[in-house]
Amino acid sequence: MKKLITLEWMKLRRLNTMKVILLVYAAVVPLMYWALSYIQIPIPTPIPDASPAFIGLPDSIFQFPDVYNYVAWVASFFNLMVGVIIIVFTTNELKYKTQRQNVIDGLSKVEIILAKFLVVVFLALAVSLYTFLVSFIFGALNGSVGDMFDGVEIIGVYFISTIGYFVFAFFFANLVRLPALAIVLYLVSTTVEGIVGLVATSTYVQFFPLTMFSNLVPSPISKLMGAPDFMWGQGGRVALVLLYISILVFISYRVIKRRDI
Amino acid sequence: MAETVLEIKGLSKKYKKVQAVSNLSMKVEKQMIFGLLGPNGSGKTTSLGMVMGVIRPTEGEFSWFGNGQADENRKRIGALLETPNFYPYLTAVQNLEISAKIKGIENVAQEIEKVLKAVDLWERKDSKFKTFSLGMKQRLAIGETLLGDPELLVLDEPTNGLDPQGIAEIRELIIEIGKSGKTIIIASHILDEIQKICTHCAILKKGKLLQVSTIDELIGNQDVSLVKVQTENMDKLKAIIESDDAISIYKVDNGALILSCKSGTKSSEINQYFFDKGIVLNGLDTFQETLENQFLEIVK
Repeated sequence: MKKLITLEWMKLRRLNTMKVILLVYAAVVPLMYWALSYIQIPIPTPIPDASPAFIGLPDSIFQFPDVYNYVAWVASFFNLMVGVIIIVFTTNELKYKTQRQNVIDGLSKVEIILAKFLVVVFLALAVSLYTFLVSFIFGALNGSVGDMFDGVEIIGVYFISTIGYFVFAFFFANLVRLPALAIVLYLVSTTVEGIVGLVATSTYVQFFPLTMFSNLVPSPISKLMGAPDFMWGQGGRVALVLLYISILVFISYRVIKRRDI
Repeated sequence: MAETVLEIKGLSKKYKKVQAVSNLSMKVEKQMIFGLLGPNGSGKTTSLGMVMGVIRPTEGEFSWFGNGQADENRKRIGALLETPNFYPYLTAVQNLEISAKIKGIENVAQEIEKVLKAVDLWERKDSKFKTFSLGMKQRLAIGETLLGDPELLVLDEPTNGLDPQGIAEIRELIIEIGKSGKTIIIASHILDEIQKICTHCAILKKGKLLQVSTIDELIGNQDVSLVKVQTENMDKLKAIIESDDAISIYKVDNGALILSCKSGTKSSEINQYFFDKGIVLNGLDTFQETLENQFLEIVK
């Protein structure tokens, strides 16, 4: 295991694409969240010709415990960028035929999948820790530091959800093999399922994999609009997400195993 | 008794409509320098790909070092298949570090220095792979196969893309490695090289194994001398040869005859002999059978 992590790190640490995307991500997430404090939503006024009234977002989004939930929710959109890193990293190995050389040198196909999965977990961990940091700073700046770990469980759940998104990216990368196509399909399917998840009325849509991934971190918009509660409890849904992740990894392994590289 | 390092039984590969390799069976023993020969598309690279774990056989099995198809076997082999495959954004040293990591090699820095110097790339060790010329890429790939001093090398067209000096250097390197007791499997088109380097060879055509033999067997019996003769009166020449037991016709070569006579016979003796019998030769030369001639004959 340690050998595989070191191996992948040797490949990743000089990949400029990754460094740039992570830098952009690191800048954009707190920036976007901070920009939220300036959002003004117009509300209808009872008197017809009175001047329009606005309302800002509730202060609670910047305070513990809710801040963890909301920052995680905003950050999860930008996770798509990091998913692209995974797609590029995976398809590179196919494009340069370095995966082929790794196997010739003695790596087994199981080790190949395991190594890439470790990269997925490592990136998900990095992203989750960063999200925690950003939330913590916002929370600390805006409220009492006393309850600073209230609501932090949501970061744990967010970690699992992020692994789900990244494994999905990895899955596409292996199946499609062409970087441009894989990226497009990945972005389109995540966006489409996201919209479907928000809008669909059938309760069974809840169980589609991507919708499950995103619903682990409850969307504040749904909360505010009074969307119906989920069918299962949080624990059950996490378990199901872990199952989906296992299935995606297993299918990716079978594809790699059977393929001539 | 020699140890078998590679045993292949009934290996086949079918791609939709094309049978790339068909029921290949052969053995390579320790310290052989084994050439895998064949026209383009004969299945050499596909066969090597199958035993190196990158192509799934349709049928059949193989075993390295008597240890089956286990992945660890490949860590004991230095292999170059088809093209040099490296990370373009990493330097020569960084790329070799990755291979060394996979193979579990110790003294990495030392090993890398040793192989880069052996293939004459030490001065470019910190250049990114994408800046390398074709010849340098090929040499890096050969260097990679030498990492960790493996017991066995598998080289698919090792001199591909090299200039004449590079070809000569690599040939010398391979011969030296062969002398140090390693086993080498080489796939190549350049029969001149194979003839100089190899001890044994297998000839493939259209996915099928035509024959396996030693190089000596193919190049011809070493117990005779071969001479090439030409004259205006070929019929009289043939009649003389037929009546003489000591000389026989080895083969015909573009209007000239290749004769086989007792080992050590000099051209001047042949010249005198035929002159005494009333034949004036207008062409007389010693002849050495080449692998190329034999090969072209076999794959016809």
